[in-house]
Amino acid sequence: MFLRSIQLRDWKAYATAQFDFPVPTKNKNVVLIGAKNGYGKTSLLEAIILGLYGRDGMHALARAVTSNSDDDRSYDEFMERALHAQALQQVRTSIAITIVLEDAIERLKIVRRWHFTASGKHRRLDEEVNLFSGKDEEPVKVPGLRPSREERDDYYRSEIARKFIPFHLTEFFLFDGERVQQLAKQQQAGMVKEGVEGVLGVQLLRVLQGDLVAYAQDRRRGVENIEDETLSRVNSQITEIEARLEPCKNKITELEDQMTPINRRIEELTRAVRTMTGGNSANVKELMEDQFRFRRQREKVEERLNEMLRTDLALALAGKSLRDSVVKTLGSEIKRSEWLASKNHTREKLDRILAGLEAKDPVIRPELTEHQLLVLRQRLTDVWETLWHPPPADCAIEERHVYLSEAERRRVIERLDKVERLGVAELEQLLADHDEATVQFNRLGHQIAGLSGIEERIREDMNELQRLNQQAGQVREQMGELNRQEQNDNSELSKLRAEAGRMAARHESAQPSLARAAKAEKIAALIAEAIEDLYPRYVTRLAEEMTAVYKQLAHKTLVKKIEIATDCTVKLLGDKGSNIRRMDSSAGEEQIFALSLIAAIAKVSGTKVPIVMDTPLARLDPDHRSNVLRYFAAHAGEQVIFLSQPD
Amino acid sequence: MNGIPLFEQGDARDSLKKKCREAKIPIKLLEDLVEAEIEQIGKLRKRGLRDRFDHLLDPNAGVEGQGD
Repeated sequence: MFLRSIQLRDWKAYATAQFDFPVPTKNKNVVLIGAKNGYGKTSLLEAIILGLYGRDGMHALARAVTSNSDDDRSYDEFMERALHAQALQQVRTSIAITIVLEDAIERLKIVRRWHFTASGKHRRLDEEVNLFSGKDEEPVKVPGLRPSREERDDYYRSEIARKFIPFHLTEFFLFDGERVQQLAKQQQAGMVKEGVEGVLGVQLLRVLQGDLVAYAQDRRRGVENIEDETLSRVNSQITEIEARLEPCKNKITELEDQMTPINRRIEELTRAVRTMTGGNSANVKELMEDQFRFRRQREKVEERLNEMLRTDLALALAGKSLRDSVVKTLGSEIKRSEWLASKNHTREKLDRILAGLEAKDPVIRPELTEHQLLVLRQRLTDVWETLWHPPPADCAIEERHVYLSEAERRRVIERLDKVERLGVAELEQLLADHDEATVQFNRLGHQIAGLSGIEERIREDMNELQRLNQQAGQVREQMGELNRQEQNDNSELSKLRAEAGRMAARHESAQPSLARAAKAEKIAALIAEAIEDLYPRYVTRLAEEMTAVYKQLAHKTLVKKIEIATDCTVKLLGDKGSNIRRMDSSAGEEQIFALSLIAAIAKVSGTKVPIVMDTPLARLDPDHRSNVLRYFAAHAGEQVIFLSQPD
Repeated sequence: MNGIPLFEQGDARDSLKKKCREAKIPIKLLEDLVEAEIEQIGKLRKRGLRDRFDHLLDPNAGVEGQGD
């Protein structure tokens, strides 16, 4: 696209201004704007740059560099100075720049406004930019439902970069004389390199390369990277366990096969022994032991019965009335004995009383006669006798069982009481126990008699049974161990299979991200390789083009060839191949050198955009000026705008 | 390739095609990635670039092995 027009309002010295540029043609592609110093040539260039790119264009403005290191502050200061001097007095608090770009197909109108406070302070956040497309100037629609201001500005910036040139290339197409001087200095090789790389798109490619590498790293970080080796390791563990399980299962089957005949034989033997023993598998010895036990039981019952016959039975047979009579008699004899004992005890006290009658002190006056004393003794004795007569009612009159002591009488009473409690029930139980023991004893006797002939056979079978049971136990123990091992392995196998499944799923889900990362890295490597391969070719072409341009612009013919190293160090080589670029070369020569470089860069880049140069001819003599104008005029159809002094 | 003169001049494009063929990267993919990066120029933050990369580098999108 080329620059069709620019309209300024309150921009620096321009209260209002409109510049319309003709459509560049084959014969008329150079626009020359002449003005003396201070008449706004540079202001126009700045208006074009800032009108197109706003704050982004600041880096292309040599004059914008201030002592202030704060970019925002620097921009504010620049814009506050840019506001037309009369604007605030006339109550206009904004700057407006309208640029129209065109080509055969498209038309793009850019309207940018900067706003200020009443005191002239730049309201940076209120900066406006609007794009209109086509002859009907339809507003350019920003994608998205409700794009933010930042999104809108980003989109417009992108549109301008896409349809015109990215702002970072402006310094090679829109520049002033000071910029040319900077490029002319040999020590600015870094800047030249940056410019060459920028104009060729190498810088953009490097950014893309870096973004792809960062993207790949990010994608790899974002997924659980399960290497194929990890999955293979788990799968090989599964295979290992499966291989171990197989013989284990085989061994279990083998042992089960071994157990079948053993179990069958055990069943046979058990059945045979049971049959031989009538359902009781005990041997004769055990049967005899049982029989002995029942015999002992019967003997104990008989002993008890004999004892009962010997002791209690006679008393029981004597009858209850006789036993009661004896108990009663013995009881009354015990009473009598107790009565007599008490009486004898008081008789001793009577004897002491009677003896007291013989005492001398106190003296009885008159003294008792022998007779009186005898009578007194008799009377006292008679009185005492009356105390013990008659004897108690339940007391025996006489003792029939004089041979028994009181204690023996009591034992006899207890014995007779016991006979009284001897019941029929106990006797019947004893007789029943005797019968049962006798029956069991006889039964076992018959059984033992029956077994006597096959006892040897049973013993043999029992021995075999014992041996087989022992063998079966050992096999079962082995099988138990193998079953435990199989269970553990199966459990481990289940876990590993589940883990392998999860890993495979994660592995599968991670594949797209990993594939993207791998692709991004591959493309980044491709870009690096392409730059390394192609960039030196362009530098060579750039040197060839610069040589051609330089020869057209310079009127000296000392320079035979220009060489540009990949670090963009430029050498002017003379006839003998020596670098003839002099440090003390004239300002005009330096400017020719710089213009050659810029023209060569523009040509090699193949970018078809306008070139706007502010006072590039100031230091040139008339011959050089003619050469420069002739050179650019020869680029048919490419718009070139020179802002120059009138002379 | 728009915006990348390095890939446009002389035999550069043929050379690039060859490299893409060898790397089994469609040159259209490279062009799209460059386009995505150009759209980010001047933006304060590279909003949406990762999504564009995701879309362009989708392993199921397109067929690799095309050099041009």
